Parts: sequence; C-alpha cells; structure tokens
Amino acid sequence: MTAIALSPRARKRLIARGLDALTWLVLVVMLAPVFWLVASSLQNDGQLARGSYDLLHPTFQAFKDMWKTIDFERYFVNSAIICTVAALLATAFASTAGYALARFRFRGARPFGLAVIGTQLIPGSMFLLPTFIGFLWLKQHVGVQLYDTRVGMIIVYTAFFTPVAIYFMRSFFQGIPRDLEEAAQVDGCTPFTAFVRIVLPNAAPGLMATFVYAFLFAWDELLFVASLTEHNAETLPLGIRLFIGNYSQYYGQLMAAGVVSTIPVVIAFFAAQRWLVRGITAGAVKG
Amino acid sequence: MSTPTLQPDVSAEVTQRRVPREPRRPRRRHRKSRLPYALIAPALVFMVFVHGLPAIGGFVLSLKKFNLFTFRQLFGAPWNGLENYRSILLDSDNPLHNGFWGAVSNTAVYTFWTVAGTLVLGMAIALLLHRKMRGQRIVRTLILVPWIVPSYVVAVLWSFMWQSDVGIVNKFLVDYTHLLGHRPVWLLGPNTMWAIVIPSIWRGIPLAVLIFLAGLAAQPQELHEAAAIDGAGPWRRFRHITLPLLRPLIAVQLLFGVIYAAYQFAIPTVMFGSNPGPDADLMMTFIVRQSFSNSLYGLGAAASTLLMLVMLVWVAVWYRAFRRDLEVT
Amino acid sequence: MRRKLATASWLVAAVLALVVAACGGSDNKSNTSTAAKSATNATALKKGTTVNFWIMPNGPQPQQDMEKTVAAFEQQTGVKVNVEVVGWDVQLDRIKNAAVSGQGPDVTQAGTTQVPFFAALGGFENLNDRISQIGGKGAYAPGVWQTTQLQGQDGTYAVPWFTEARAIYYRKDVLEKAGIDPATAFTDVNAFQQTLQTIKEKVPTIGGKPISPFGMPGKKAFDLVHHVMPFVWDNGGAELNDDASKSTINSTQAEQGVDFVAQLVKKGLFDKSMLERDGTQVENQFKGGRLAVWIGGPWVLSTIDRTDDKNWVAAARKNVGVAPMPAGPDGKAFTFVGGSNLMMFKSSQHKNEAWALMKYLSGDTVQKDYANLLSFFPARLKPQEEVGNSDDNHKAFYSAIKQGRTYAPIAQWGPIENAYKGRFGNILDSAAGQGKPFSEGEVKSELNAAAKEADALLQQGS
Repeated sequence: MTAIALSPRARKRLIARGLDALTWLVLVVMLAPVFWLVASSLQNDGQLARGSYDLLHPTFQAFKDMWKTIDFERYFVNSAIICTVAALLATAFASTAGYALARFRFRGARPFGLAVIGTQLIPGSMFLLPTFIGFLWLKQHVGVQLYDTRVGMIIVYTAFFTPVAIYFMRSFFQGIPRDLEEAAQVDGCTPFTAFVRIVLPNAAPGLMATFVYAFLFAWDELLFVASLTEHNAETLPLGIRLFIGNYSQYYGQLMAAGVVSTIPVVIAFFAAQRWLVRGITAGAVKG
Repeated sequence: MSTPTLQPDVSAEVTQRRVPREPRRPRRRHRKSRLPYALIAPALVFMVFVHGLPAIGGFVLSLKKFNLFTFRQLFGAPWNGLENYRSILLDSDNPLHNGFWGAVSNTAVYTFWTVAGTLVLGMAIALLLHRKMRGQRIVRTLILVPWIVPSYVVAVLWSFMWQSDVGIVNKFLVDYTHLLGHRPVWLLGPNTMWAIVIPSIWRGIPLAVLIFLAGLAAQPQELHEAAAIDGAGPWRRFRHITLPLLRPLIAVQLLFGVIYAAYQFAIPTVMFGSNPGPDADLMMTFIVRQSFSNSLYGLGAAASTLLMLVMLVWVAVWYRAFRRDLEVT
Repeated sequence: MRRKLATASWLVAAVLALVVAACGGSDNKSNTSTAAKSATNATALKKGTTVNFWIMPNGPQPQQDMEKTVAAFEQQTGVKVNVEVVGWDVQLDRIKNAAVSGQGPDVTQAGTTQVPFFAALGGFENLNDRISQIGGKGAYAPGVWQTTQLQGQDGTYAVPWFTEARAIYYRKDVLEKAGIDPATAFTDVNAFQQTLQTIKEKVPTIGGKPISPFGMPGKKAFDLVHHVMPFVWDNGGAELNDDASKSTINSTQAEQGVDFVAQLVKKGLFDKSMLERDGTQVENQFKGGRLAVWIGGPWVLSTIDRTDDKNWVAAARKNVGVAPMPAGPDGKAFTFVGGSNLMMFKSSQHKNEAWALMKYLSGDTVQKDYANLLSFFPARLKPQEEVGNSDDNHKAFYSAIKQGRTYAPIAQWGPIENAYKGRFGNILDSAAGQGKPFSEGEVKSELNAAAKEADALLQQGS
C-alpha cells in the first residue's frame, strides 16, 4: 500500500489534533478518581459500603445532610481566610527573598539559602510540641493569645510555606534575563523600583504558581492545625474528619464535603487564570 | 488578548539589543547595597520564630525524659542526656529501635517511585498543556483538581477504590477489562506500598505541571524558533534547550520532592490507620506512632532529630549535583 | 498605568479586608472565665455561668442530641452548657493539651480505657469527695467502676457515663437454613467454630447473594484488641499479669486464644477482605448482608429500625439475633466492656457548676434517655438493668455486660493496646496469606515481640 502523501501542513494538523486528543485523554485519566469521588457522593451509604454503585439513580441526600452533621461553614470560612492571607504573605516574602538570592551576591546569601532548605528538613513531629508550648508561653508571659486564633495559624502557615516558595521564586527569577532591569536602571530606576515595575510583572506566572502552591498546601494542612486550635480557628481538614467516627461513619457525606470543598477553589483558580495568561502575553510581547 | 504590561519603548529598545544565547556578562560592581538584606528580612524573621526556635526546642526535648508521666512539666522535665539516642540506635528492647530499619527501607522505596513518577509524568503533561489548544484554560484549571481535593478525602477515596472485593480498581482490572485473572489485595501485604505510591504520584502531578508550565512559559520563544529554523527537531529542541533551561526548576522540585516524600505521613495514616503494616510503614508513621500514640515524646524527638540528620545527607548529595543551579544569574 | 494602579488598590483593599476578618475572628469565644472561683462548700450555683463541655461524636447527631439532653439542666439551674464535639482522632491530643496547658473545657468525655492515661497527666480533678453524692462505688458494676481508677492511687478521676459491651450478632435466617439451633450455636468456642463451619458448608448463599460465615476488622480498627481479647480470656490468658508489671500476652493460654481466631481465618471461615476494613466498615458489611456472624456492640441495635440507615438490606434488617460471647474450655465466658466516662478539669473555674452537670448526666432517667438515643447502655446499675430487660437482643447484651471485663487501669494501657493491635493484625494478615507465612512459630514470635514492646512501655513509669 502506498503511503498517503500528506502535505506538511496537513501532517502538522494531524499531529496537533492527535496531541489535543491525548491531552484530553490525560485529563480524563487524571480526573477519573475525582469522577469516582463525585459518583460516590451521589450514592447512599449502603451502596458505598457494598461497592455497588447505582449511577443511574443518584441521590443528593449526602449533600443535604452534610451541613447538619458538621458546622461546615465555619470550617470553610476559616480555611478560606487563613489560607488566602498566609499564601499572599508567603508569596510576597518569597518573591523578595527569592529575588535577592537570584540577583545579588551578598554575605550571608549562602547561609541563608541553606537555612531555607534546613527549615524543610525539620520533621513536623519535632517542632509540633515546642510550637504549642511557645503559644502557651506567649499567653502566660506576654499576654498574646495565638492558640486557637486565625492570626496564630496565619503566622504558622506563612512561615511554613515561605521557604520552598523562596526557592521556586528564585528559580523563576533566574529564568528572566537581567537585561530588562538593567535597562530600567540605566533609565534611572532604583533597583527596587525596577524589581517592582519590571521584574514582577514578568514573573507573574511564577507568582501565581507560588501563590497556588502555598494556598493549596495550607488548605490541606492537618497536623499543626489539629494541635494549635480548639474551636475558633479550626479549618476544613479538621472538620471533614468528623464525618468518620468510632461508632458511626458517613462516607457519603465525607465525599460530598470533599466535592463541596473543591468547587469554589476550582472556580477561583479558573478566574485567576487571567493572571497567568497576562504573564505569558507579556513574555510574548517582550520577545 | 489583554494589554501588554510593559511600556512599549523599553521593549523596543530591548528587542534591538537582544542576541540569542548571550555569554555571561562581566558583573557590574555593586555598591555594598543593603537592599538584599531588606529583601530577605521578612522571610528570615518568620523562619527564625516558627522554625528555628521550635526546632531548637525540639532538640532540647530530645535530651529530656519526656513521656506521659513527665509531660505536664513541659520544658521542666528531667534531663536524660543522650540516653534517648542510645536507646533508639543500640537498645534492642526499645520500641523505637525495632522496625526502624524497616521503615527506612520502605521510605526509600516510596520516595524513589513517587518522586520519579511525579517529575516524569509532570514534565510530560506540562509539555502537552504548554501547547496552544482550544479549551486551554479549562484543561489547565482542571488538571489542578487532584491537588485541591482535601488529602483526607483523597486517602479515603483511594482506600475505597483499593478494596479487594468491591473496590473499583479491582473491578476495572478483573471484571471489566479482564486484564488480570485474580483480584490482587492492595490494602494488606506487599502491595500496600503501591497502594500509597500511586495516589501520591497522582496527587503530586498537578504541582509539577504547574511549576513546569510556568517555567516553560517564561522561556524565550525566539530560542526555540531560532533552533527550529536551524533544523532541530522537537526532541533535540527539548533536550538541548527546554530541559537545560528547566534545570533549576527540576532541581528545586527534586530537592523538596524527596524531602516531602520522605516525610509523608497523611496518606498512609488515613488509608491504613496508625500502623500501616510492615510494607508501608514509613519513617514518619513509625515515629508518630511510637512517639505520640505511645506517649514517648522524648524518644520521638530524638528519632526526629536522627531523621533530620539522614535527610541532611540527601541535601548534601543534592547540593553537589546541583550547585551550579544555585548560582546567581 | 492608571489601570494597574486601580488593580493594585483593589488587591490591597481585598488583603486588608481579609486581614481584618482574620483578626476579628479571634474573639468569638465567649469564655466567661472571669467568674468567681467556687467556694469549697457552697453548693449554690451561679446563674449565667457557662460550662464548656467536650463530647465525642456519639451517634448520628451528637451536637443536637446533647443539647437536647442538657436543655432541662440549663432550665433548672440557669447554667449554660456550651457543647463542643471533638472528633475521636484528635480527642486524645486535645484533652492532653488542655490538661497540661490549663486552657480547656470544664468537663470532657473520655474513653473508659483512656481515663488512667489522662489521670496520670495530672490535670484532672479527684472526685472522691463528691462521688458519694451519686451513690459512689455501689451504683456501678465492678468492671465499670474500675475504669474510674488509676492503679496505685486512691482516687476517683471520672464518673462513668455510658457502657458498651461486645456480643455476637448473627443472622437468624442463615442459622435456620443451616439447621442450627441458636440456643446452642455459640455456647462455647467449639460450638462457635462448629457453627461457622456448618454455615460455610450449608449456606454459601442466601436469597441469591453470597454470604461468608464470619468476619472481623484488621489492624485498621481501633477496637481490634477488644475483639480478640475475649478469646484470650476464655482460654485463661491475660493481657498483663495481676499487678500490671509484666506482659503475659505470650503465655501458652494467650497464644491458644489468639491462635483460635487465626485458625478461623486459615480454615476459610473468616472473610479475608474484612481485614482491610475498620470496625464500622465491617459492621456495615454485616448490615449489608455479607456476613452471617459478627461481633459488635449495642449501638447497632438502634439502627435496625432507622429507615434512613441505608447500610441495612432487608434480609439482614429483619433477621438480627444477638447471643452472648462463647465460653472457654473451663466454662467461663468473657467479653470486653467499654464505653465513656466524664472527667472534670482541675483548671475549671466553675467546678460546682461542672459537677452539677456531671451529676445531672448521672441521673437515672437522663442516663436511660441518653443511652437509648445512642443505643448504648447506661453506666449506672439500675437504669442499665432496665434497658437490659427491654427486649431479647438487649438481654443478650446485658448478660454480656455482666460477664464483662476490662483492662488494667494503668496510664500506659493505650500504647500497650497499640502494640498488641499491631501484632494481632500481623498474625491475622499472615493467616490470610498476606505478609509472612503462617505457622505456630509465627504466632509465637509475634506474641513474644508484643510482650517485649509492652514490657518496655511498662518500664516508662519507673
């Protein structure tokens, strides 16, 4: 059989379509467990336990009941506030520190860089109790209440997620050529202004990625929030565990809560995609 | 397309000056600027108070006899010197001694597969998503979803999926596609390692994709265009342009990916309870079980310190391999 | 440029709003801890004080059920009760932190096996002086009373609240189909095994659906040890020696007991996939008609009639029978008795009011009503007996409570139980063909390791 002669443009188009299809396939495979999550949230507990799903007759009972079983709104609001503020602060601190490490040679740069890595080496099990004791000490001797407060958790999370973010931002900055800042400084900008006005906009994809990283890790953190809160500042990861008790378990509601926790965040990130696009566009124009 | 954020004049000037693949320029003499110190100050303050001091506190606790009987004394508990360390390393009667090496080997296996799987698949998918295609925004948002679902829910979901009799994985492998003849048991025995590796990779891919995508987006287009014009095919462009430019990001993810995987705690605990069994017991599940569930806090702090020392070896190895990528551009 | 400025100011405004919200949220708790310290002998309660009360998720609607229960108390005394539900997975650490930091509630629920651990921490009130007001030791069964003590100390650190014991659940229709008489099916361990064997041979399916004779959860279950120990006790074994100074889990008798359970797995009488599950999940398998025989607690009984509990299938729902645990070779039957107690914090600023609440919850009627809500048993003897006589299934549980036995009230029991749980789990896994190959030697070595771990944990106190 003779090979079909394709024009280069047609060949390109075929490959492109093939890759498009592959992309959608990959997405489907990656989301398959999430489809299963949604399907599970639409079953009743008996069907879940037996594994015999009835996909044709979904029930929304779990979505209705989950609000009664736990105080979902309180956990959600706490999570939203704590994680957003902590992620913003972490991104801000990380971008300045990452820029310093990427562009400047200064004494203390190497120790600082290594110390940043060092913070990630400390197992949670090691500094969990001391942090709790530290909060107690602050209350007793300085009168500052951080235990079971949103501010306390924000401080802890900002500190947690800044170090890795610093390394991310530094890598992003390393990928941006110096020319732009130097041109701006030739024009009379101070280094800091050049950083803010020229470099940051170019690093928008990196900033966005860092914010998302910090936000999502904070969104999910369990070990510390379990020990450092009691009622007021409890977040979603704590709240959703209440569905599973020693004597009764509501897996359907847990799945439903998992779905409900995900949707607003997905919408927020979809809306925020604009920033990512802007950053890429800026890069294109620059070229 | 939205408005470009750069002022037009600057970009025009830059375009004229731009030459692909510039050699390193001689460094301009900087005045001893205080700017970098100001830039790192906020991060440093937080790190000292939340990481530094408590870590020292943790080390101090590891030198004390700190268990359920002395817990209420907190830092006033009696000193134990290096006894805790001796017990873990040498005393075969000590609960934290037995099972320690098993946990180490499990963690090594788990870390290797998780990090390798995450980075390789993450890179591949990022390359796919980097292309311009219809529905790009949707795809790029939805690929994050595995990461957004709370990890507790993910672990519970997978523990349902892995059930040997009614779980969907076995149903898929045996009942629907007949790929296997028998139903493997995932939640007991040697397969428990895969039962935690696979969800970990699945959950780690979105971050890797996100990072690599941002890195790919920042790569200068003209480099690729120039190489394409010179006749380089996609694979050569990838190997010689894309990959080297992504090296700093690969290095970062490798470093922290290994640390994060070695310290993994949530997924095995939620899937298996506090004792994942001899094949899936990782270092953190081992330490937390022995130190918190068994109230051997001082010993746990000592084991955590030892774990830290082990990871320092990894960092040293990484540093030698990727020292170049830490340099200032 | 102006547009960028506008965007930036929106961002700053948004961040400021979030920060304000963050700071504002911290003062929500109305902790009226400025109330006067309670006088030593004054029993007058101050109206308007708030007692903070931690409970665990007891039943499907824990918050509402408890608020309903204390409504009458609030009305009678003018003392407000602030109920807070704390999950089982965090309660151990939370209560421990509260005891040590002095920042916690006034009263908390605690598992019966946890009381010695908390008492040893030193943050809980000794109720010796007050306990006589509600009848003291005599108002409770010995096994229940023991859970308020701490070995080696003369004090009462908790008030028993509600009780549970384990018994055998079985499918009446399966036994009928197999031609087994329920009255003799589970009288002793041999009969127990024979019943399962007969079910396996004669009733592989019922109503067209496959059914396994027996199943039990694996090491994922918090109560695995509670399931296995009765068989150890039946054989004359014990978890620790009499003065709780050494582990005896590797004695010959204990080994026989554990081996009995492992043999059920080996002989195919035990559905192996149950080992992947925790206690409640296996309970749901029984409800779903997958198991003919299962060991469980009384809380399952109340769900039989609840139509919104979709775990039940019709055949199972209609055919539930309960029998006491089987007797061992020397004719004595044992079962695990557990439940929850109430403890008062030393740091409480309202001890009189807190005690009044605990007294209220120990009232006979309140005990009965609350226990019925959850389908547990009251802890106090009189209402316990009343509930026990309510129907046949409850009678079986009541006689189980009378055979009840619990663990030594030492502070390190929790960790020791964990050590045993891991080892029992390994033995059962190996009997199921996962992990190390199963043999008598394997059982012995795991139990020896368990004893060694337990001994090391017991050394801590020295």
